[in-house]
Amino acid sequence: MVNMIQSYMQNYNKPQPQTNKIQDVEIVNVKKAKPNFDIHRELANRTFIKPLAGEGKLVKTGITDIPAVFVRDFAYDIKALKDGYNGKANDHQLGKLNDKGLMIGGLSLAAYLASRKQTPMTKAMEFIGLGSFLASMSIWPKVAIQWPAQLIHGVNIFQQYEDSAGRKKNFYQDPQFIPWDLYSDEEINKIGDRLRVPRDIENRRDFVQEKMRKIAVQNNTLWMLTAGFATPVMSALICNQAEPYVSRFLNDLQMKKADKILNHFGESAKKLSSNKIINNINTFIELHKDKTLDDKMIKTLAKDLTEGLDGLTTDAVEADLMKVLKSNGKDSYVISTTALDSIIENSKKALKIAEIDKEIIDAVIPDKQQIQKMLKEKGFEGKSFDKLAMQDILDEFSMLVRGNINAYNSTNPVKPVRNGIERSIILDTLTSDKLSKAPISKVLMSTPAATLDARAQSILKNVANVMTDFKARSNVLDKYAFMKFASAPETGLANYWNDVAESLIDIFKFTPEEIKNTRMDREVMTKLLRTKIEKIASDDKEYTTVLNAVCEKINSINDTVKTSSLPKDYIDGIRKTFDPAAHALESIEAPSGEKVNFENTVRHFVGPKSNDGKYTGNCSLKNLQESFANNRLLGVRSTFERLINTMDFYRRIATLTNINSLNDGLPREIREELAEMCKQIAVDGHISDFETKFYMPRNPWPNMNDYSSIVVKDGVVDNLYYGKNPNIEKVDVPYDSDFFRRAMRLLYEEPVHPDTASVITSTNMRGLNTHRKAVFGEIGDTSYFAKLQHFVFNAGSQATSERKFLLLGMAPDELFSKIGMRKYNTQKWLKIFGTIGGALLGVTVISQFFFGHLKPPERSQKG
Amino acid sequence: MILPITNRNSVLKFSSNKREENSDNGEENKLPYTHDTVLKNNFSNRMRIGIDKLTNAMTVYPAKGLKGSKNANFYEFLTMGNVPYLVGSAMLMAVFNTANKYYMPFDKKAASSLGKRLALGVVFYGLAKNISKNFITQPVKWMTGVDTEQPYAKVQYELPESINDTDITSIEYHKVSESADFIRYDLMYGKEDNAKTRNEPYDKIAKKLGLGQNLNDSDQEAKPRIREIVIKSATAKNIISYLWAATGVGLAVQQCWDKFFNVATLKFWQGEKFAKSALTFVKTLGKSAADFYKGEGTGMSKYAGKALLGAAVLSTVAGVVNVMTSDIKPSKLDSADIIEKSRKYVVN
Repeated sequence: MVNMIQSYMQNYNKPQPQTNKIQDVEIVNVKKAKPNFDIHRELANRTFIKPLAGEGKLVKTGITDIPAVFVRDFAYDIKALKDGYNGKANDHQLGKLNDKGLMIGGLSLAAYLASRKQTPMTKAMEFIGLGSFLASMSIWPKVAIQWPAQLIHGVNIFQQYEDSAGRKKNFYQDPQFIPWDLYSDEEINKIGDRLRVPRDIENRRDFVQEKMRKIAVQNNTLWMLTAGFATPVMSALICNQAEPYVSRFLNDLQMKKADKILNHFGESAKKLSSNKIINNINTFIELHKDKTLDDKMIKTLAKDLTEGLDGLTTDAVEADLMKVLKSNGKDSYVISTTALDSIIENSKKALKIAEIDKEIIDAVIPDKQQIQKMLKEKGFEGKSFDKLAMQDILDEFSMLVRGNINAYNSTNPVKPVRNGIERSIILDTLTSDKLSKAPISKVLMSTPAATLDARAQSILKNVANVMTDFKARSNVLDKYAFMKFASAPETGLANYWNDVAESLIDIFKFTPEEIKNTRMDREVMTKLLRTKIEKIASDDKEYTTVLNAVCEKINSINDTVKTSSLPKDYIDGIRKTFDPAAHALESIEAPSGEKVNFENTVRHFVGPKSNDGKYTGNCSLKNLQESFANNRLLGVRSTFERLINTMDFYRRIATLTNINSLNDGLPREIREELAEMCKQIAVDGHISDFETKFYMPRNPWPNMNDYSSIVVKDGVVDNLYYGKNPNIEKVDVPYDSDFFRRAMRLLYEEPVHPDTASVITSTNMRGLNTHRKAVFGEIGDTSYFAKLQHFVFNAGSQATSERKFLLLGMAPDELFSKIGMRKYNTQKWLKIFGTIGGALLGVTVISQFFFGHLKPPERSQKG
Repeated sequence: MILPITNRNSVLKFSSNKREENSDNGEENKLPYTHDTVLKNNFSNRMRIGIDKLTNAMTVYPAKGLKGSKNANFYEFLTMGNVPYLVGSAMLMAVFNTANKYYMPFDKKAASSLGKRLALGVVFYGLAKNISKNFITQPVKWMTGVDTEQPYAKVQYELPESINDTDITSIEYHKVSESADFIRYDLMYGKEDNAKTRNEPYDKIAKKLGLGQNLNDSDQEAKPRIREIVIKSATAKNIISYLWAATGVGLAVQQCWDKFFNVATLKFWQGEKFAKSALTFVKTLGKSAADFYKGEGTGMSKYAGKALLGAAVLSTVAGVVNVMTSDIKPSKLDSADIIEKSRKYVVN
């Protein structure tokens, strides 16, 4: 300012130099300097140099102001960016830009990391991670510093103020320059009272201010010291806690999306439609119009027509094209332009393998001209021929070779092609193998007499249209089936599985200690689980409560996957996709009105036709589309239904109810063995145990005199015989098919316990009886060569291995073992960092009780 | 002419002035500087300042802060701001890795592979954020002569904490242009011997900025432009450093680092092994850069790396270009050079 005035004065007092120079441009002075300006008078005038009245104020934002403040702050940040870009920003604005940079960088990073993730949940968690980190940066100082300080001292150490230029700053940001004038005496005194500063001291305001400053400096320091520890831990804990909610939210979103695409099948198909197949065919036709089609080209066509579909469909289409594109449907061939070179090359290669001298090979294999001449003379050139005619060509070729051999022998009498040795080898190698393998016929057969003429083009275009439509529709089905049932993370069924599995740990009241002890060894889990179920089964109330909770959780499939079975719309969709495609492919139109049947492809899509002319669907893609989803549902449901069945069986044993197969005319020792085996199998049996008809080390000479009933105490069988005599050498008894039959009946055929029945009815839990019946019949009737009589009805179950595997479900101990492991990891992590977070919060809050101590000055002496 | 206000000729008797006062009687001086002193912006000075600030941030400043010292100031608060960065980085690494050892073998392997890469990401984030500032600072310094990171030692006079407190001077390390509102132009002058040497640094800057040579008052000409350069550089640095930091993390999360971690050792006393690790590190860094750029699969994941790198590079180039562009015209050029003679002008 002083510089400006000085400069002004110098210019004002100095007379303007008069120059005679003619000005290039006209200068018009529109403003003259103030006349009679006296700098001394101006400086003496106090109003001139008095600073402007401050317009700063403390920021007091209510909840209702937040949106307005947010918008204003955002506008300020935008202006800061603009001013920064133009080189006009101030320090405060530049500071704000740093925050914006952090956010932009963070978002870019989250977007990059999300792009590397496959599922919506993992993608979302990248952004949630960033958000939680930024949130932790502001939540920690609030929760651990600001609020406790306010409660303990009554001082808001993060009080903000707005300066005269409208810049929002922390009141205690710079302890050397605190704008105390923004606090009224009344406010300071009120804070002083809260700080228990005596009222009757001199300069009370100064003392209170000093105390406030001290508290703020101490807390700001504490903030800096703790933020590094707290922010990452807090952020991780937030993510950890947010995950289930985000998962549920995203699952609902995905399931709604899946339902929507299925409900609007036509629209969805249009959206998922692509002209790729049609374009493929058009390009192919453009490139190879009216040219001969060889095997390779037909293979390419098949691939083009089935792009995005499975390999078996490609094979079926290829087989159909081979047949359809040949002019009259018979096997006929033509000699392509490259055929002769290939014949010569193949022949030489074959003879080389047969260890004929190179010199002889070169001499006896006819050259191109020779073969061309022969083909022309014999009338094969440019004409199609069948397999019989092909044999003629081979004979003619053989004649040429013989001629060449003779010519060679006449010029090389020293080292001729010997009769019965090289001669036989040469002729045999070239002509006597199978047509499809011999070096010459192999080449000829690779060029069927098909050309890409108008007929072929029309057929291909029509098929391309059918396949495009089919692909679009099957895309909808695939997408729906994937989102709901696929064996991949975050599909509806996977989320349902995780949700139920997680809850089971709580329902069965596994303690962290139990999870820790069982995580390494499944067998330890088996024992623990048996004990747990036995305990539950022995208590009437506990059993009903637990079973009720399990059934309700399993029933939540309707909430998670939004369906408990394959929806009718999906089955309709399958029908609408496969049937029209099959019908269309059955009669593809050619220009002459001829109808062409792609029978292999049709069979692959919808299965062979039955006698009444309907598609059976057997071994078809159509079947697969349905069974894929069905099998996934079956596998998941069977696991949970098996758990219920296991609980029910333990309950029946605990209460000695509905166990006729165990009691019916058996000695007590065998009863004990049977009960033990069934209890174990119910908890840890795999399908291989069932298929091999259970391996049970038993006493081969049981006590046949004691027919008393087994005794159960607290759910556990009180054995009189089983395991009581360690000297008995136990063996499996393979001829005792009755033992197997009884075991199956006991586990799967005896009626469920009345308590189970009542819970099933009250929770509307469906499917248990179907599950039991299916396992009993389909798995129980499986044949096993080593135990031929072991079946429940008649040996010879029709169920496939996959069906049996899915039907049985996962063994309960394995299920709990897997969940336990996962739960342990989370618990361990939470324990470590939860403790650190908690301890840090405690130390931070407690240390604030020691802040702000200041010795008050002597009280003023009154009077 | 009124000179800029400076403490250069200060006669205040504080401990920092003792060197001059006591040079005759040989009394040892506590502080290396007697007045605010510009320091060479070289590696050793930067290291020294960094270590000094870090040591203070972890010892002296927290002690002062926790006592609520009347001398605790904003500089100390800001310097302590480095503590959360360092502790937070270590903590973040711990969050990803500490619990892994308790997991089952397969989980452990998966978790520690991810954990190590994320820990490396934390390191790369910090390195890339700091190194990338040079992408603006260096070209700007080269093209304009203005070093926006020029450090200086500031002599701070404190209030005595008690009646016996005689040591009331401390040294703070600032940057000449750390405040866009109050750039320490006074520290940018040359030797006070005469007007020529005094303005020499400004002459150089003015020349590089195209403001002309042999100017009577190169300082007055250059100052507005320097301010503009400082602000534009700071803006660019504030944005791009985080984009480069994100790119750094992008490199660290590539799968190829798993192989490096399988063979790497930090045991520098095992010379040969450590040297091999260092070499593998460089190779893996190259591979990770290639993988990051190439991307994987299709769609977003294929182009995300290119997009992030592109954003960082483009914003850096735009930042430098913006710094070099200015509306500020030299005020004292010959009117013949800037006035179109055919037009009518109105001047104040």
